[in-house]
Amino acid sequence: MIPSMDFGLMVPELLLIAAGIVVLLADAFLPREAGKDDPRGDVNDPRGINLGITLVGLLAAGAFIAFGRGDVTGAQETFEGLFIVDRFGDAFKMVALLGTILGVLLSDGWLRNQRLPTGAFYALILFATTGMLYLLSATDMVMVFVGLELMSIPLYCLAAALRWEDRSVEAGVKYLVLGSFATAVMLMGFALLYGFVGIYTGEATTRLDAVVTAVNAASAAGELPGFALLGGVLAMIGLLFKMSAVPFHMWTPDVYEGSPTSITAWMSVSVKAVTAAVLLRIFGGEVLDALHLEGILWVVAALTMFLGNTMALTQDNVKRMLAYSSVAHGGYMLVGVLAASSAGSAAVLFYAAAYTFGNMAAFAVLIYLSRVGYEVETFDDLKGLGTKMPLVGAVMGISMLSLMGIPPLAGFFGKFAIFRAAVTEGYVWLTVIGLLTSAISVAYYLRPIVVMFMSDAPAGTAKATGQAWTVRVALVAAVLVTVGLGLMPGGTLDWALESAQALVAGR
Amino acid sequence: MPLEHLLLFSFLLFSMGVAGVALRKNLLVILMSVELMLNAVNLAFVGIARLVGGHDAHVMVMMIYVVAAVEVAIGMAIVVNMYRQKDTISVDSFDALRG
Repeated sequence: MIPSMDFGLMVPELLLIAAGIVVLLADAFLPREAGKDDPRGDVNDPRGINLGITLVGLLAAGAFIAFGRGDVTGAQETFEGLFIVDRFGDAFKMVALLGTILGVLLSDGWLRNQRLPTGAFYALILFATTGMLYLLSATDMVMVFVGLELMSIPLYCLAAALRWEDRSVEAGVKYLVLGSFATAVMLMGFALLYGFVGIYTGEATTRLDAVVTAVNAASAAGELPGFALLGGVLAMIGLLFKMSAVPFHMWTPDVYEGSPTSITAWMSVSVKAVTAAVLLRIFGGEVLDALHLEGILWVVAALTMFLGNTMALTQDNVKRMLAYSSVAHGGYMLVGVLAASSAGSAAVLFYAAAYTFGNMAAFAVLIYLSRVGYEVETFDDLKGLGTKMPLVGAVMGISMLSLMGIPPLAGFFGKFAIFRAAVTEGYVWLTVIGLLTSAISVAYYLRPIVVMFMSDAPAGTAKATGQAWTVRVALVAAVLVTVGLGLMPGGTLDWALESAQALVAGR
Repeated sequence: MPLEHLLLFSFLLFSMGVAGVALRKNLLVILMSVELMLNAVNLAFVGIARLVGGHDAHVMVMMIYVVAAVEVAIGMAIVVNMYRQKDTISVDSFDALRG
């Protein structure tokens, strides 16, 4: 029998793969500008052709998801159920693609500052994004695994992109080792769950919905064997690693500090959003309780919110501070994963969108202030820049206030939606912990604002000038959306709820 | 062969891999340990598939083989680069980022 293969549903992914291949091929024929006395070699692509192809690919994929899906409202399956297209996955794909577009724009500025060749860099970003999209359409262990690796493996390379710098090399190695370790743990969990399904139902399958059905049935009958529980725990640990939830967060600050700034920005938002969506799709709902994972996830979410926020207090490096802050934001998303009702899933989606733009704005400021041979990374580097450049300071301020969750910015409505869903589902204490830890976070989010506006710039500090248009666009877009989502959250919240209902209805 | 023996053996291999990643200092050995973990998973998949039937596990094993090879290729590139940079592939040499 020939399986049904509807490539029409896979157009966004195929577009990204095509764009990646075109970038790699075009890169070989681009005129090169010989690097004069530069140990890093030739600098190519001064006219931004690779950048153009990358952006066109990403925009085309986004446009297809937004307008090209037709009138179908239910979930569509193809490749024998290996690939599923539904509103929920599409919504997260949009968030991931928007984060990637901002990340690519920032990468342009960063690459110019570092005088690095662009071709392989953009191709890797495109391939990793393809992995994210496949992951968001995955309903089968095979697809989850392949999508996860397609996302992760290019990221290992990107983390180590500054290959002559100790910090970047170290980041790449740590990410590679811990990332592949986490994947192996997740696979062991999948193997056990596969065994359970095969023995319990007599029909061995790697389909995750069949696994969930079997687990729920066995749990209701009180026949769930220990190895299935272990399988659930291991599969979840693997995903929590990628989400950098405490206690699996050790790699996060190091990798985020050592990686290229634009890649850190992108990883911290898009990878987190995608992993949260996968957790929701696989473990959301009844099955979480059936596998006895609810208590574990409760503790993990509480620890993640607490440790992420407290560890961020003591950092001197802004990238490291934002890394711990991203750990904490992962914790808030986990609260939404626990409350996996349609309101909870919608909250995770809105939160991911708000976090994407708020966090990108902060990183955009860092890249905007950097220039060739000089990177703004520590709080000392930011001293007095707010008074010198009020607009840039204001962007940093808005970004920090949004991450803090101050109304009327996007971050506030994200946190509000998450906590409201959590209270409705009965997670009152977790909400209390979430609110208390958000109060802690005020201390470190205020620090960049205080440093930028209330201390004097060291003598000789110049205004940052001559930044590429890409960085300006990313900066303005990120901050405008952060404010816009805060002032008019209604439409986006409705959209998130509609998408989440598609997921919950399919359970 | 009963399922318990099979899973026990697979778990033993898996634990050796975990211990290798946690305890060894040489990056090559660490990557080999990750491979050992993946092969333990493969063993569990094919073993279970033999007991309960079905083809999905075989597809999964093939995919794991391919991705493991890709991971090693990337891993080797990063390790070789690290050796050029630092003249060592021991994880003890990590000092640029305070973990």
